[in-house]
Amino acid sequence: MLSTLITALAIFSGVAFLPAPVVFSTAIAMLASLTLWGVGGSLVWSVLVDGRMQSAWGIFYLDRLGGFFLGVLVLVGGAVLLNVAGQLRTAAASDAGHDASGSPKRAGEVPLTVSLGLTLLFLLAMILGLSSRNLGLIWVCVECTTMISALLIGFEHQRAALEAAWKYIILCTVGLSFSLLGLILLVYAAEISGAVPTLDPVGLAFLAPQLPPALLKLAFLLILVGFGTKAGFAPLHSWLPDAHSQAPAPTSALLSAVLLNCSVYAIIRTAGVMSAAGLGADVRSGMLLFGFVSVLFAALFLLVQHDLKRMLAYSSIEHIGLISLGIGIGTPLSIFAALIHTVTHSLAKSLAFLSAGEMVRTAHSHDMNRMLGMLRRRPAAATGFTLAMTGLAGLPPWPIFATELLLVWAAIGAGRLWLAMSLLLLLAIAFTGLLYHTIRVVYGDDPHHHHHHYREGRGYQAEPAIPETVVTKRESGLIWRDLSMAVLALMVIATPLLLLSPAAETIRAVAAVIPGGGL
Amino acid sequence: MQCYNNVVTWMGTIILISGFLTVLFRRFWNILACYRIQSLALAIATWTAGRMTGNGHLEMIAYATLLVKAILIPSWIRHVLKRISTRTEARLTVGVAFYLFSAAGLLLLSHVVASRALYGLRASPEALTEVLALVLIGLFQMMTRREAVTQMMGILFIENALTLAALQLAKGLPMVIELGIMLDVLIGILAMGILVYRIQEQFDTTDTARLSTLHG
Repeated sequence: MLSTLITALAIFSGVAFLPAPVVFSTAIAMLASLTLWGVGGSLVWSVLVDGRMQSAWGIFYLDRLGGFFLGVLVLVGGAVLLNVAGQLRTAAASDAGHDASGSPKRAGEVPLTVSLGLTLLFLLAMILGLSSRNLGLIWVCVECTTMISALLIGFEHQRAALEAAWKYIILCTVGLSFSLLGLILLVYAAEISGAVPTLDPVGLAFLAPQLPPALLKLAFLLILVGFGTKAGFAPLHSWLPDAHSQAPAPTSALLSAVLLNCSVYAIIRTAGVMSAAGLGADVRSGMLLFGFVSVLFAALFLLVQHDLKRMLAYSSIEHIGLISLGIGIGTPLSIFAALIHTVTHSLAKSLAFLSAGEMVRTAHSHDMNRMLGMLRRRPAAATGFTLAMTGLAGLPPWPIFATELLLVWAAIGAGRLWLAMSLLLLLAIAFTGLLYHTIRVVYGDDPHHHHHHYREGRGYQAEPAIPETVVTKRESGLIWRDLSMAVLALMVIATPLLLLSPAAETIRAVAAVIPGGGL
Repeated sequence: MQCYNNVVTWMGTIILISGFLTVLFRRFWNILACYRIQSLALAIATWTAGRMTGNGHLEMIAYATLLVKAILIPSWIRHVLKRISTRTEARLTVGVAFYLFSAAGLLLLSHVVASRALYGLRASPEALTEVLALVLIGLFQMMTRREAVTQMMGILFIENALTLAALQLAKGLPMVIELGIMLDVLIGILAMGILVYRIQEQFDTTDTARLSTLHG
């Protein structure tokens, strides 16, 4: 089944690059979305629930941990592809007449459908990364995602987007090259201690006790810094707010909700090897340090943002920091919390980015001061956004409330009182910041505009009104964009179920694979 | 076996020297020439290692290195340079003497780190020192020269250092991974080249110090 998924996506992405009418590419996007949900979903089900390991061509294996992260990818990826289909239709309709976003006309040489092909390749690279049972191959796939997503970020050729894409590709490539050096040192360590060198994390975990600890420590440091750059750990995060805020909405959603997880996955895999070598304490302190600094930076920067998508990007840094803290505390409880946190954050964050994209489209600006009162101007997006933000801030019905409490609880249980106390304070700051901005954007009263100027899906226009034909054409894309948000909203609403028995048991079984997570 | 070791060591030295030389040059064409020489040396070292150990994979990788790193990538960079054609020199933010001293300092630092990591093991720290120094010099160059094309070149130099590390320290990684890394480099350089075009188009410069609209 894994091979079916990989082959299907590879074919779809290949076909998507061919020059074709937009109807054709939207059809591909929808087919790919259904494949991802259907084939990917049953694949994840068989790995997580039936506990069967899946493999493809003897290179790619999917175990519980990979299956868990693939599950998140499948849920988010399908919805994002539906959104891409909507975006393509909208863009094609508006290209025919007036450019809807008011932005300068794109340079004609790149057809729009290329963005679909790149998105599919991006997903494919992440799937391959998650199903590689070889640290080197994981590295290759993660590095490949950098290149593909950088092109997606710079796709619209606006100055800010290009700047973000450049910063992203340079910083992440350099960061990841440290990881590669770390991996080479792992092989070197096996080489000089006379063992058969391997990069299979399971095999390495067996070898680990005989390997020289000083070299392993250096290797882990390099690997952590490299994948940590890509995961957006502060203070290595400087590219992240730019890249995540400047990318088109579906790309932002994938970057924040899936790609960050893939880097965390790579770190967890390496951490397994290090713990087997008896270096678990070093791993934990590294993760705790990065996690805490990330939450600290993000909570403070969240408050002062004016750019909506930038605020969401800082929220991603906060949540990745929390996940890292959960792994760093390293008790079964904290790791369980970190995993639940991962799923909830990904679903809510992708919904947040997609609805933020709609709101930006309506307001013609990223600036939160210019998008007050979105509930009137674009009700569907504002509702989705509110749902996502309450989820991300950690209001009670949603699991992030529970996981944040569990993390604090686990920190106290592990004897880290100072961590628990400062974490509570920072979480309160982040909570306030997120909800303050959300309430302003959604319910705020915009003194400059009158209510009757707003129409669903059209927004306030300072320039002459859009011709009616264009508006009706845009409606066709709008349905798919709204549908993708609705699907994600349903998933977010369902997240509290993760804390209940069957799902929680499955996640506990995944946690048992992570060092410190077994009961 | 002795001869093989000699060749690999000599090529390593050539790679290290060409890495150092890039620090002195300001013109893109000279830096590109350094990269070509380095890639060539890398291919020869890989090929020799493959021949002597009877490892067919390494020979294949040597041919791939020759094709990708000594021919395809340099011609693509030439193409990019011709197309942007605004400047052919990287702006130095610090003097040449400072560069040389820093490079020497980085070499020393690498030696200290390598000896400490390998302390008490049956392994000499030279190879590790060489690799760490090359990576650090590449990084240093990227930090001090803000021209987009030099940053691209910096990444290429770092990647060459890592390939050398894979050869000298790990005796070659599995073929899939080596080829995967090479594919990544190729895609990455293509993507960066495309971005450089666009940046030139939008900003009328490729000096990344001017890319400063985003902050906070």
